[in-house]
Amino acid sequence: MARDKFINPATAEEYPWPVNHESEEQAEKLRKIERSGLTNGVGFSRQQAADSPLTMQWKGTILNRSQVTAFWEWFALCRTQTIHLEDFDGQRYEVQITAFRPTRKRVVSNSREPGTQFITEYTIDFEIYSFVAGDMASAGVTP
Amino acid sequence: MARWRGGQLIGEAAPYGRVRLRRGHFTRQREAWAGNDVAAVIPGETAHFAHQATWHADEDWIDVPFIGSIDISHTFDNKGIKTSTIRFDNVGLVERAGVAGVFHDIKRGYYSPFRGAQAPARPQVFGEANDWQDRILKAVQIKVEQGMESDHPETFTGLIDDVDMDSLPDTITLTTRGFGQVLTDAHIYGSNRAIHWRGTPTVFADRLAADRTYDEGGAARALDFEAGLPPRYVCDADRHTRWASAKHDDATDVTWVEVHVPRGRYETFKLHPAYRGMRAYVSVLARGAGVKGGQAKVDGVAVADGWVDIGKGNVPSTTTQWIKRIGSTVLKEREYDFGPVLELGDDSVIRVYFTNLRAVHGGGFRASARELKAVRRVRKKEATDLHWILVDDASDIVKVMLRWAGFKEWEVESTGTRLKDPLTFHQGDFLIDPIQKIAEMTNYQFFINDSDPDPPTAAESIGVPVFRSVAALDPPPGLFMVASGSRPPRVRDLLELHDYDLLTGVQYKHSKGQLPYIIYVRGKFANEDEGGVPLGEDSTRRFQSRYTPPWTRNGRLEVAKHLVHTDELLTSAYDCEVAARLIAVAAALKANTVLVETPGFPAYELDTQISVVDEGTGLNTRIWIAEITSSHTLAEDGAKWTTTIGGVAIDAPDVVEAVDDLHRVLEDIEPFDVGVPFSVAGHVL
Repeated sequence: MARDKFINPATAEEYPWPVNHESEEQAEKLRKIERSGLTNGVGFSRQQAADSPLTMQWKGTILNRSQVTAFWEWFALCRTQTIHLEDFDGQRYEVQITAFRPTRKRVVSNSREPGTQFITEYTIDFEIYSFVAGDMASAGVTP
Repeated sequence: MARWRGGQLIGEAAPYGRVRLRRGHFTRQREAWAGNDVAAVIPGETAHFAHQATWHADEDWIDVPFIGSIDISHTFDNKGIKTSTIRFDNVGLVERAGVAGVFHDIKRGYYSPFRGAQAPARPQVFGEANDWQDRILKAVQIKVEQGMESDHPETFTGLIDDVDMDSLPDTITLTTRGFGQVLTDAHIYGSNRAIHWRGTPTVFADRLAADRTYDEGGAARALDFEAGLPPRYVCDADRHTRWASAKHDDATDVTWVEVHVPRGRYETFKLHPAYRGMRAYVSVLARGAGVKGGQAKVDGVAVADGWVDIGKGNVPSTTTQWIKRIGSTVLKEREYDFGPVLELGDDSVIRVYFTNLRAVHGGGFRASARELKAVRRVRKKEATDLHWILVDDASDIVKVMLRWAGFKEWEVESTGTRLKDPLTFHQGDFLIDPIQKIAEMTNYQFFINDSDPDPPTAAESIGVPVFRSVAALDPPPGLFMVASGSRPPRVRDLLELHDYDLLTGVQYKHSKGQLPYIIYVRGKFANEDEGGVPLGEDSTRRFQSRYTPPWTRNGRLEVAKHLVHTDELLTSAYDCEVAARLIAVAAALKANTVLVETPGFPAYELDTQISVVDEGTGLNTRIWIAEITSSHTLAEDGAKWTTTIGGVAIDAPDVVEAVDDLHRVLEDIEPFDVGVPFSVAGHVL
């Protein structure tokens, strides 16, 4: 199976994830409707706001200390620029990492890092700026 | 409008806002004038070449990104000039083409005007300058468009006053004012007015009163005359003498008398007919002798020697063109306009043709006149030396100020009043001061509207100033009966707001504190024979009116608050009666104020009327709009656009009854009982 990977478009640097993510929360794009009551007390006047951006939240487990460090480095890079995220399915997005929530969990042994008795479970949030390649890009959809 | 009325502003009807800006500059000079007509006579200028300010754009519009909110306010308190506060995110998303594809740099403070600048002895910290360095600190025109994505007219244009920058969140807030700020901030000094007038104040005077006048006319001739009644009698100063034509067989015959005049400027002539009911045609034989350039001038345009032709046609039964017609003569001396302004040379001729001759005793028909003079006008020395600006109507002063401030289009109503005395403004005064002075004198309103999207020239418009009588008491559509000489109704279509479709907030306040119990108005001093009366401890005798307002008569007010107003300019008891009722109307308007909130709507305007029906407050009234504030937030998690209108309830009982009393005094008729506010035909205040 192909790896999830981060790509820095500025330098072409790539970081394939040692362990792909395990699950995804529902991607979300909201359309806010503001309702104001009418003075006769019946019904509403509605006003529609601009659509919110498309966001994704992935969850997974990291077994290597180096992967945790790498995620933090890419999170820091996203402070000043967007990056590309390509998933195992070849869907490629221009994203900004908006949240990274690692949690260490005790285990009897970590086969990927002998001598380490924890793994790291994480949640990572992305805001999608554009579809670079894949089904949505081919369809001409914009987030 | 139809989508907005539905109150469902979603999908294509979702609120839309856009802010653009561009740099520009003003020029202030004399140049060709292509704006609205300005009838003032300004030394060294003509109707088509005049001193003016002009705003020039130095670049195309660019969009302000990431708008967070747009707040706009338009009230009479601010001299009718709009203000706007615009907040946007100060974070740039700069697209870059990287080795591995397109991405965006995220740059905080990207739109800061100081970013990239390096002061002496300071390190360069934030990288190179970008397009936005200094941009919003220079002379920048802002334009706001709001509405729906498919229809978003301009709702504001103006210049930046203040720039506020905040961190976390990184935002920039622009405080802006409409171009009317040139009127309130610029002095009547230097290049803000015609620059060749250094050392003199700005004086406005009535054009006719700025002349010395001389009655001219000699060497009289006539087509024919009765023995003993020669034409020379129209030139003597004796009204008891007269010229009379020979007897004619037919009343439709044409005869004439003429006088010769010296060189000079002529706008009017005086005629004292000896018979009433004649028809007169006035012709002018212009000669250029002694006129600068050797040719006579008609409205400033040189003409060859000959009968002046302004396209009116020939005098009946002759081949001579006329420039003025008097339909039916009267038996007294009157001064008539020629029409155009004439600059005539020596020995020019003013000829009056008469027809519809009078039947005389013994049979036959004659014409006759006692006096015929042309009025030569010479500008007073102080008007020339001090570069007086001469106007025919007080509203011309407003137009001059607007031209000096940079406006090219406006809606300025004539006031119908002439200046009685010159008005002087000094270098410490602002361009708005003459406008406010005229507004006070005439009870007119001044404010600045957005440019109209039609015609196309509005793309370069900086706003449309409006100067006109207050529309608060204009009658509603369908209830105006045109009286002779009345102005056509302004209220044609009334926007209706109901509690079941668009009203999201209503506040109505009735304030008894504004209402007087009894109103006394005292005018100038008058003795007892003239009708002057004392008032209580004030033993001086003056013209006076005592008026009981309708709310007192109808038992709606119980505390006896007396209001006494004294005004020396009121010179009769009738003036005092009218003034008392005007005071009552003003009090009634102030006592009935309304605030209404609706979803954002760009088409509300100051000094207009809307209709409001709301069950919760019991309102069923028109509102005269005195204040408009709009608040538009564009965040994706809570965009909302509301407009709040403040005004007075015109159809409140206090107002209706007070206006009715006023109209009865003005028209002196009985009340017209159909239960509608305006019982009197056609009189608009």
